[in-house]
Parts: sequence; structure tokens; C-alpha cells
Amino acid sequence: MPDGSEHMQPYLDQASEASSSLPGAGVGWIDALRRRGTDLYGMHGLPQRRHEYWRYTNLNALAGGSFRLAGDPPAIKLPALPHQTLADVLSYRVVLVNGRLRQDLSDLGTLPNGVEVGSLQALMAAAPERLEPYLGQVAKLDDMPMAALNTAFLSDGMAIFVDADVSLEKPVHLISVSARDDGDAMVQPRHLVVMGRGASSTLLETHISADGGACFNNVVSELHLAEGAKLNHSVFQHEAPTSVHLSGTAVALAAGSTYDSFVLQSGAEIGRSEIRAYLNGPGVDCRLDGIYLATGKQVVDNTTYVEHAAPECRSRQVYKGVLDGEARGVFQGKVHVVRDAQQTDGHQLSRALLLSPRAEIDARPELEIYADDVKCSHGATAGDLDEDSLFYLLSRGIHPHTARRMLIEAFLSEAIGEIPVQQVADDYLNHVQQWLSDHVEERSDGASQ
Amino acid sequence: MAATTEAVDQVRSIGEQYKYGFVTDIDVDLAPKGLNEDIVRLISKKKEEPEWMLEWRLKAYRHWLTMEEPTWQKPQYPDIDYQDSYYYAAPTTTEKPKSLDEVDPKLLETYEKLGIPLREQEVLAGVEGAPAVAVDAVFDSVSVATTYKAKLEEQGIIFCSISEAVRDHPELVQKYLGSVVPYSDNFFATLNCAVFTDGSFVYIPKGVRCPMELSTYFRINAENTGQFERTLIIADEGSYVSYLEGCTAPQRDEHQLHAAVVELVALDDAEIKYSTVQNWYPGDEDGKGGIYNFVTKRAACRGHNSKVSWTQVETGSAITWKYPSCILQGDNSVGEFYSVAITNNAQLADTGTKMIHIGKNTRSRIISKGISAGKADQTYRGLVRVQRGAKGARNYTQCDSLLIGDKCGAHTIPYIESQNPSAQVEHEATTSRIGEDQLFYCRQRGMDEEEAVALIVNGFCKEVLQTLPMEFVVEAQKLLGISLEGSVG
Repeated sequence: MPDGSEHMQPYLDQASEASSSLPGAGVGWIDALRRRGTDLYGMHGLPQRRHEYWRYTNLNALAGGSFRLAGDPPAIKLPALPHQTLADVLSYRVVLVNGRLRQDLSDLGTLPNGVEVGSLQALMAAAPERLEPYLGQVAKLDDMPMAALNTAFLSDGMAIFVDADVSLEKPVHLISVSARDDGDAMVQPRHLVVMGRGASSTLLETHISADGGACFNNVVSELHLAEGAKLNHSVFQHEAPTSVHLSGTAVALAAGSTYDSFVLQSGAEIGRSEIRAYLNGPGVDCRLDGIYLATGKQVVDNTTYVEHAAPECRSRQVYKGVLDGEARGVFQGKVHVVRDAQQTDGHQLSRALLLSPRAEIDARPELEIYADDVKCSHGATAGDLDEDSLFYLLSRGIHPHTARRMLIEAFLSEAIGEIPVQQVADDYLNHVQQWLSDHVEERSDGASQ
Repeated sequence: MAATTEAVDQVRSIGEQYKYGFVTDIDVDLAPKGLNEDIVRLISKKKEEPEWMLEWRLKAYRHWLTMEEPTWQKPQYPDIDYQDSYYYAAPTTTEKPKSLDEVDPKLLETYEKLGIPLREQEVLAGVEGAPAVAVDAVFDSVSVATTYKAKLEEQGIIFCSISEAVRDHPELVQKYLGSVVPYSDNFFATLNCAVFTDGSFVYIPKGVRCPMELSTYFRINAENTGQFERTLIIADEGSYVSYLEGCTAPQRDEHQLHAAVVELVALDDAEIKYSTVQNWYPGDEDGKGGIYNFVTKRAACRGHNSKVSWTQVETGSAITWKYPSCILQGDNSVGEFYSVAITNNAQLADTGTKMIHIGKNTRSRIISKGISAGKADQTYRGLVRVQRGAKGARNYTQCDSLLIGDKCGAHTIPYIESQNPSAQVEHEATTSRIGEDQLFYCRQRGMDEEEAVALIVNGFCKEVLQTLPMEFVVEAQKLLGISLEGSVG
């Protein structure tokens, strides 16, 4: 028996309780999909240390089963976003409160022809056949036990369909708000993005909390990109420090498509972003970048899996993080090149700065390669700021903490600079500066001195 | 042109395939097949061991019964029937020979075929000034001959089989055996504790620099036997030793298990250099037969300023599965790992190292070169852990993989765990194949394709080969050529 078994029952019970009242109940394939989620979660249980992809992230906080499936979302107002720059980005706004789409807070304006943005729940009820070819098709539940749990509760989230050759000028901005129910709320949102041949769009996600209560937010997104489609995807996770935020994103990429992802994580007690990209056709360009900022006892985990299943694809990953206090950073990345995926170009880099003597980084960059005509490399570094650079700045009369701040900012902004939407990049940089002022400036000099 | 002659020699020797595949027909003393407490007792009795040793073996055996065989590794293999194997096979020379003249001539013949300079006079008759090598020869896990013993004893160096050490130096063995790899460490190490039959023991006293290379040659000969040897090397304060192990086995259709344990202890200011040229029988082209080489090797850099350096050239075995490790306890201690692993045909390897930084200013360096050809699959798996107190620790890791052919695989799985901000950890890895332009350049200069590949591969591995003791560099280079035989074209 997996060692998480004793902890999974409370969640399985909730899933079976909810199953008959969930949207789409009675539709054969939806029922089967949920059952598969329940069965697979039942088999694996809560992932434990023995599960290779959960080695460094401990989910004991969930073990008690005290989180209850959130009911109808409380009638809250839209909380302010962390920074104004992001709020000012002109976008189609979709607001979810506790995983349910709130029409009253959303602002979709007039969507161009060939674009549909709405709630998954509504589609499941009205036209489940439109979802059938996509829903549950990319996320491989055997490899993702928490996505299996999400599937067991499959009920609502955001669905986007962009028809072939349609290009969305404004980004879609998904604002996901976690709010305390009467107890500790569990939310299991499910998002679906389907991009037709040659379609292009930008998706922004901002995850925030309405109040300080503990929330368990287990998000799963499935993205389908047809031939030549293009998606820019920027995610900002800034949930309350008592929350558990687990996100699993599965991306299917057809020939010639481009997926460009950036994840900024600075919230939650345990924050995990897992992205699994399947490069199924030749000529795919896949970029997974991210930065993380953590302090206190936060655990922040970035896990990626890139499967080069076709020749002549390119993947790039750059993850950088700053860890203060007793925070722990985790980076696990795998580039898997299958046989015959010749002319693959895969690169991966993980760099972490440890600012305090109690901080920790665990990195596992991994290459699994079965084709010979490939160029694959990875690199990982961990440590404090470079002493020579620091000395250079000090010798120019710059105050030690200003110098440290400048170097940290430079370290992170290199990754942020890759974000294609300028306003988003600016916003994330604002956040970095704010975070550094709040946390790093408190000390007169470096922790390790 | 010297380089060309060398390359031609190399290619010529490529045709030889596995030249160590012969069987020596000598009388062997076999214990009954199977594994139980009686076999453990029998081994201990045959070795005339004291009571504490038997107790330790039994403790390990009982613990082993409660353990599960690991399955997390990349190379998977059919279930091993631990009851269908002999755990004790010894050449039936009842008493240990006093001199080499008393050694069974068949055995000597074997070692001659292996090209091992067992006879002291031969070594002495060699080129003047050439460094001598003291050899401990282990045949089916039983030490058959140790050379230069007397000369080493003059300096207080103990170099003997581990069974002799148990009898003659119990205080040292009791103090250090199992102190680096405890009896409960892992499935195969625990099995080894229960049934190991022999191995080498080295003790270098304080301040002594061992005047010659120490070397052990391991040979599996008998059929259906597992080989379980145990090596323990202790370098006392301020001492230095360089140790080399080599291994071969006959060509057989069934797989044979080799589960050895090597423990190294380096005290203050001591240095141990441990080199391995592993050339167990790799099985045939379809993966029939060959050795399962599941070995636990670990070094404890206990003392301040101590240093342990592992160098391995792994060309043989059907499956190689080992992670020679360093526990860097002493302040300023240094751990190094240099590895070349070649897998061809159906060979599999899952190898790498662990560097555990505990002391202040500890340094480690990992250079791993993997070459995969044919249908082979190779994994580098390594752990670099910097613990909270390891202030100023430094690690540099470089793993390069070279793929030859489109049916093979190369994987890199490093684990990096750092808990100290003043520590600097760097990891770099690349995977590529031999460049068309590199090949073209060599072909244009009149080399054929195999010569060119051998040359390029040797260049790829140069950084590691250079760390081998000089006498073995040539041997290792030749091995690389042989192992890649038939991989191009």
C-alpha cells in the first residue's frame, strides 16, 4: 500500500459524496473520467517522499483531511491585485471565486468572432460533446496523483476556445480568488484551453486570496495547441501565506506550435507549479521560465517535464529563485527525448540564491535521452551572491544592502525580461522590488557575513 | 607518427572482443547451493572467524531477510533467485601458499592470461625504475596470493586478504568494518555482510606514504557463484595510498551477481586514491549472460584535510549499478569522482556518485563521461548534499554523455540539495553525439571510421583517464576501443 493511503480517505469520501450532484453527471464519458480520477487517486494516495516527483515537497499539511470542498462561492468583491500595473493591462477578465466562475465580476467585453471564453460547468451541462475530444486528454493522471484528485471532483473552471487563424489582440486575464468558506476550503478548479490551427493568444493568470484563511487550491489546466498555434502564458501565484497551492498544467503541442510560459511564485505556504509539455509534432518551440521568492517557512516547488516526442523541436527552461528565512525551494525538471526525436535542442537552467543560513534549495535537473542527434544540456547552481560582483559595487561606494539588492534584482530580471508582454514584465518586476524591500532590506548586511 | 601507430594498435586489438572469457578448470571447494543461516555459519567457519564476526554476519543476514530488493533504478533485470547460487567457492588449496611456487600452476596460468604481473621476479626484471605494484589476487572471492607483503610490512603497511586481517588484526577490523557502510545499509550491501568470502585489507600507518601501487585483481571463475568481496582501506593520519582494482570473468550464458562492498576511511591529512578498471564479462550482443555488478563503495573523509579520489573506468558488466561516494566529515576535506562509463550492445549502467558535505570548507569535484552505443542505456545519477554546517563548501559537477547510434540512451539525474548559503554548487551536463565535422576531419587524414571514433572517444575521456595511475592508462585506453567494437558503420 502506498504510504499516503490513510490520508486519502477523507478526500475520496468527499468525492463520492459530491459525484452525483456534479455538473455533467449522467454523461457517460464524464462519469468515467471522474471515476478514473477517483480510482487513480485511490491507488496512489497523497504523494509522499517515495514518489519521485514529490520527493522534496511534503503534503502532510493536507493529511488531516480538514479541508472541505468549497460550496457556492461567498459573495465577495474582487480584491485588489498585488500591483496596479497588472490591473491596468487591457484584457478580457475572467474571475473565479473558489473555482467557480463569477459572471458578475468578470468582464469579457466583446470577444472577437471565433473566440469563446466561459465556464466549464456551463459547457459540461449544455454541450459536453464539445469538451469530449479535449477534457482529460492531456493530463496523464498516472503521473499526476493530485490531478487525479482534481479529476475526481471535476466540476468548474474556465474554458477557452480559439478558432483556427484567430488572433486575440488582448490577453485573457484569469483572476482566481481563494476565499475562506465556513471552514478551511478546498478548491479543485479545472481549466481548458483549446487553440485552433494558427491561432494565437495570451493568457494571464493571477492567483490571490480574499482573506487570510487557509485554502487548499488544487488547479489543473489542460492546454491544446494545434499546428502553428501560439500561446503566451504568464502565471502569478500570490496566495495567502497559509494556503496550499498546487497547480498541474499539461500542454499538448502540435507541429510548429509555440508555447511560452512564465511562472512567478511568491505566495502560499506550499506552492507548487508542475508543467508537463508534450512536444508531439516537429518544429515546436517550448519555453518554460519562472522565478520564485520565498521566505518564512514557505516551500516553493517548480516541477517541469518536457517530452520531445517529435524531431526538430526546441525547448528552453530558465528558473531562478531567491530564498530567505527558512524557506525551501525545489526545482525538478526533466527533458525526455524519445527515440527518433532527432535534432532536438533542449536546454535547462536552475539557479537559486540562498540569502539566509536556514534556507534550502533542492534541485534535480534531469535528462533522459534516447536519440543521438541531439543537443541537450542542463545546468544548476546554488549559492550566495558572487563576492567579486559585490566587491565591485562596494568599491564604487554603494551601500552594502543597496548593492545586494541591485545584484538580486539583476539576477531575477534577466528571467523576467523574457516575458513578451511588457506590462506584465513590469508588474512582475514591481513585485520583485516590493518583495525585496519587505524582506531583504530589513537586514543591514548579508545574512551570511 | 606515434599517435597513428597507437590508434592502429588499438583498432587491431578491437578485433579481439572479450579476451578474458576463458574458464580455468581447477578444483573448487563448493558449499551447497542456496542461502540460509547454516551457509553463513559455514562460511564463517571455513574462514576460521572469531565469534563476533559470525554474530555480525548473522545480524546482517537476519536483517536482509526483512529487506525488499530495490526497484527504483533505471536498469531492470529479471528476478534473481538467491537460493540458486553458490555462496562459497574456493580453490581447493587447503593452506595458503607460503610462496608463489606453491601456488597451483593452473591459477598462475590464469593470471598470466590476464596479464597480471603476479610474479614478483617478473616485475623486478622489468624496466629499471618502473614503479612496482603489489597485487592481491582474488579468485572467486578468495584471496589466493598477495605479493610484496614483506616489503610493505617493513614500513608497517598491512596489505592482506580481509580474512587474514580478521584473524591477525581484529582490533582494526572490528573498529572500522561496517563503520562506513553499516550492515543495514542497502539490500546488496547487507547480503554482502552476511556472505562475503574475501577481499583486500589495507592499513597505512601514520605518516607513511605507500611506496607502490596496491592492486587487487578480482576474477569470477566457478559457475553459478555470486562474488561477494569486501574491501577495507584505512589511511591513518598523514598517510597516502593509491589502490587499483581490476576485474574479469569467464564468458557464460547465465548472469552472475557481483555484490561487493568497499569501505575507505581517511583520517586527518590522509589521502586515498582508489581506481577501478572494471571489465567483467558484459554478456553477448543480445544481452545474454554477463555480470550484474551491484556494488556499494563509500569513503569517509573523517579527518581534517583528508582526501579521497575515486576514478573508475567501467567497460564491462551486463548491468553496472553503483555510486562510489564520499562523506566529507572533516573540515577542508576533499572528495573527487572521475568516471568513464562505456556501454555497448545490450549493456546497462546506472552509476554516479554521492558527495555529502558535512565539514567546513569541504570541496568536491565530479567529472563523469558516459558513452553509450548499440542498444545500451546509461544513467548518471548523483547526489550533492551540502548540510547546514558545511560553511564554504564547494562543488563542481560536469557530466557529459556521448551517444553513438540511434538505438542507445543516455540519462542524467543529478540531485542537488544545498542548505548553506555560503556553499557554492555548480552542475553542468551535456549530451551530444560525435560531430560529423570531427569525423570528417579524421577521415580526411586517412583514418578509417573506427579509428576515428576511438580517437575522438579517447579525447572525450582524456580528463578522466589522466587521473588513473600511469601504468593503467594504456590498458584503459585499449579497453575503450574494444568496448566500442562494432558500434559504428
